[in-house]
Amino acid sequence: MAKVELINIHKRYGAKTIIHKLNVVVRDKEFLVLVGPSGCGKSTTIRLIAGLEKVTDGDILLDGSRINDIPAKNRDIAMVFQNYALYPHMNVYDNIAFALRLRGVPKDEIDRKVRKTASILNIQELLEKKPSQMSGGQKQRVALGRAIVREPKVFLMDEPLSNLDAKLRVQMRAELKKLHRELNATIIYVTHDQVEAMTMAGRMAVLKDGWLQQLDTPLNIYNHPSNMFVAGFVGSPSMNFIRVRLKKENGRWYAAGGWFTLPLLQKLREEYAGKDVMLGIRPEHIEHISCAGDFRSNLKGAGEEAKYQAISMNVTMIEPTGNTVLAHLERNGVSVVAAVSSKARIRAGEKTDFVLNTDQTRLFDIETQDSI
Amino acid sequence: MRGSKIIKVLSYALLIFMALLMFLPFFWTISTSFKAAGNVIGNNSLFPANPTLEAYRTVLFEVPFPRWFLNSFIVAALVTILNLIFDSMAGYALARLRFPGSKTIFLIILGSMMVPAQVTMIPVFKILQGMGMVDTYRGLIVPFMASAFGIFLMKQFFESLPRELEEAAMMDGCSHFRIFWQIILPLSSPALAALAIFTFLASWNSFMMPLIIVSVPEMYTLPLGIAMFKQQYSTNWTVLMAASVLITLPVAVLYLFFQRWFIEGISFSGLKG
Repeated sequence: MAKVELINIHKRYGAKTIIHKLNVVVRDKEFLVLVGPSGCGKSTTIRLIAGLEKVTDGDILLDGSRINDIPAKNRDIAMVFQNYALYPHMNVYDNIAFALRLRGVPKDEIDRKVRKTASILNIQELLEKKPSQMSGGQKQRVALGRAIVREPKVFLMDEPLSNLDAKLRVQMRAELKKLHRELNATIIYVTHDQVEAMTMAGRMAVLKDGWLQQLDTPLNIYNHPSNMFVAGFVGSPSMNFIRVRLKKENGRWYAAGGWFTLPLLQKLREEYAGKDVMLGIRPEHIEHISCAGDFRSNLKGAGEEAKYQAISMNVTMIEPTGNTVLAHLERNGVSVVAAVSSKARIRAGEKTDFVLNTDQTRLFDIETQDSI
Repeated sequence: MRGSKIIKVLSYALLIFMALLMFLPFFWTISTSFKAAGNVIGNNSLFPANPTLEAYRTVLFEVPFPRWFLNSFIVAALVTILNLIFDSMAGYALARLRFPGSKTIFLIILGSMMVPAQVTMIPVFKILQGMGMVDTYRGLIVPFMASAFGIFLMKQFFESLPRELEEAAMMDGCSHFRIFWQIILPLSSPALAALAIFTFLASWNSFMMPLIIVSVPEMYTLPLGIAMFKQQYSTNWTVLMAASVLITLPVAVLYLFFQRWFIEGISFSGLKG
């Protein structure tokens, strides 16, 4: 059992507030990812849980008991640092055994645990090496080993993969997920990389300027972002935003953008009639007319023709990425990015028709930026 | 191409000349120490005509040189060890621990470096006299067992160590003292070696303060003992030079030993990069 509760957490440095009224419950055995742009307070949050920083206001509970005043060394929480922070003067074995020695674990038990940890992480042959003799990926494993060997209640990971190259990062991502299953542990993971967050998280908490924006499963956050920031932050390339005016005709809602009118499927409150809002649509929900067939069959159950609205736009630039082509489209001051099928025959400079999946449009209040 | 070659040759020639110039006094010291007494002034030959160990015999057997050597060694070694302990502890506290007034304390320590030794000489003597430490090892050691320079040096070094190492150790279950002892100190050998050399040299060569603190010949340190060879009307140059050579030897050995540490340094590659 290891449940972490953050209750009304505030963190201030002098007059500057880093974290505002943060409420998060990390469930037992959950892989929770804190994600947000740099300076959003995600690392500070994890350091508060670790005990490396003091909470200004609010409570941190670990399995129901308050740990605000318990020093870091007694919290039974392990942390993996971004730059690994291996002790340079000790070899891998001693790095991993260090915490156990401090706790007075008998020598033969230390040896057993260190070797078991090394076999989990596949670093048995590194045990005699010093950190300076290892690659980034190997150091990363040792840093994980140092945390695992303690069998702590909670693992904290502060951007542990950000110093690895792209390929290794993808590999370690999968390994960490697997490790989470094997260890059956509660993990709180910090990253600025939304792809990492999406792929690894059980649930993810999106932070901005110290405020929690949304806490949900990756798919729910992707499909139902609570505000424009989350909508824009999660997903790559990010969501397109178009300013539109809402109108209601014959009991149906439409979004009008001057030269186009899109039928909407949302049920909206009457007061929105005539109001300007932001319409958000993800690049993959815009397809070239020539591939609209595939597009429709991929969205089974969407059915009705009204969901697909063709509009004509100018292609300003194309970026092939392999399986899709990113098409930069423009018309009358409206710019969007579409991720169209690589089978679509489009060229930069031409004007052609694109189909929008209006079922997947999201509306945001311009003033509050919140989802409507 | 040819021009750059000429410049290279010229610069090497200049460097070699400068090096010889620097070496000359040492050579003259060694050479003189092997000359016969009275064969120095007015005899400018670089090599002794009849090399003799007479001067060394005088130094070693006719004056209490071994005793002075022992005094110097005891004082310098203890001062060095105590400085390594206290300077590193104070430096660590000032670099990493958060406590009220730490900045003020550091400024005061730094400020004390600007006070010339001549200003504190008499007060230090009066204090030592009051405490009954005149003519004792304690008097030669206690006033010098921590230094503002050493604290400053160690503080600056500790601040360059990555904070994550300490945080990782804290998460692993270390107390502040254990972090200092098991993580920080082992990584600080370059700074500790530098501090050891500076402190040992300063203590070994120190003349003025020992002169004030001790007055009985058996408590003399080497620089005081050597000064005895310089009398008001005559100076026994060969003996003086022989003593100088003997004084320089341990320092040279110490330097050679620690040189390795200087160059080796320590890599902080437990971290990224």
